[in-house]
Amino acid sequence: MAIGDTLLIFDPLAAHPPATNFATLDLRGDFVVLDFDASTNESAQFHAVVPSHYKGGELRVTLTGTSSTATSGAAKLRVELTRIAAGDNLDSLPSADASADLTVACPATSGLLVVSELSLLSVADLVAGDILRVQVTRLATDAADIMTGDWELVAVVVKED
Amino acid sequence: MALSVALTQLIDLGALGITAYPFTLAGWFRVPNVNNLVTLMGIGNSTTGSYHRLIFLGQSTKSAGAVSSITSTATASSTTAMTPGQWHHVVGVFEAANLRRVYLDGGNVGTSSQNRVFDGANQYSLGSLSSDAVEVAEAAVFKVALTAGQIAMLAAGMSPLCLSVFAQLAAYQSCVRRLNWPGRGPVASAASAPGVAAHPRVFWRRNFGSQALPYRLRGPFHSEQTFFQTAGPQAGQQLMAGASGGQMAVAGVAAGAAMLSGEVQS
Repeated sequence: MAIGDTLLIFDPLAAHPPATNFATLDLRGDFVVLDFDASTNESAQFHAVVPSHYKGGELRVTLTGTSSTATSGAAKLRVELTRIAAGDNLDSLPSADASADLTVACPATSGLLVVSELSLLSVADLVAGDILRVQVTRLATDAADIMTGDWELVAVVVKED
Repeated sequence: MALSVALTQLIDLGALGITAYPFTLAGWFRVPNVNNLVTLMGIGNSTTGSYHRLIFLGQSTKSAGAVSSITSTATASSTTAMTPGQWHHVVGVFEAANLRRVYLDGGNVGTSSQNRVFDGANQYSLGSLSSDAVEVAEAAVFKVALTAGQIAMLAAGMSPLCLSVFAQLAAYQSCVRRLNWPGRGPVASAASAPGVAAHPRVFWRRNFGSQALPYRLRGPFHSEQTFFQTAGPQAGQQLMAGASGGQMAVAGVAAGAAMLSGEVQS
């Protein structure tokens, strides 16, 4: 398969919310979104089986979102990737294999979509057939997060680089 | 985003076609800190005045209740209390005239066995019947008695749409910011717009996220319109009409409208 092939696509309805501090479902027009709070670090988790055309390359994660109300500032986001494979215990999952932070500038008009691409992430030993967990967190308590109101996640895409 | 509903925003869905026991009322609710009985959801008979409801017993034990009122009330009360301001999952299983159960957060079961013969229902309402607003999400009415296992799944956060008895849903409202998105059963309406509140923890899918799978075409193939490029970089390649070197034309796919990336085995 070619470089840049899309491996996984997640929409907000695919989220598996963690037990606490989870991003909440909301609607923006006709789009389902996940609201990430401005004062508490909230997360959304997505899981998928790595498809058979994955060839072991680095992963490029793209987040598409917007602001609920804000028209200035920036939200700080973190993406963590975890390989879950045969032998792993679902009751005590391994810690993240790769992580990257990103500061997303708020759009000048609330509702305008912002597509943000993280730096390449490498997940050791990841092969087709493994489960990949993608966790998205808004680091609302980080000093770099200066956007008021919720950040709304619309889509997550994982490509092979 | 859930909905906050008091009497002035009461959500009305009309009749659900429930004509007999058993049936189940279920939903997520966040009750106010009041010392009053607060209705959460229910079905009723406007002619006789009878009803079957989920309630918050704020005036007494603070527990959740499943009540059938036909001439007089019969209430099953949960064994633990609801905490105002926190999301709780409440289910009322109205299994038979002499058996109704209430579940709070997947357990804490209370039972009532007083006899209340079903006399019909032509109304379904969601939300509080007083000025004490209650927050509502993932409200569902099933035309069956849910099992304890199914109720545990709902309390763990599974959407009613994910249950195997999905086909028995008489009505469902997610209450994500507005009504009828998505909705199942009668179209819901409210006298005035309900308030909006943060949604509880809910899983909407039983399956994993989407894989972007390549198309895999297996041959052998037969092509009736082919030609050989005699010059240029694709010289010597066999081309199919409408496709360039290394690509394959597929009937019904317009040029530039779709990209089929994947293996072609012939």
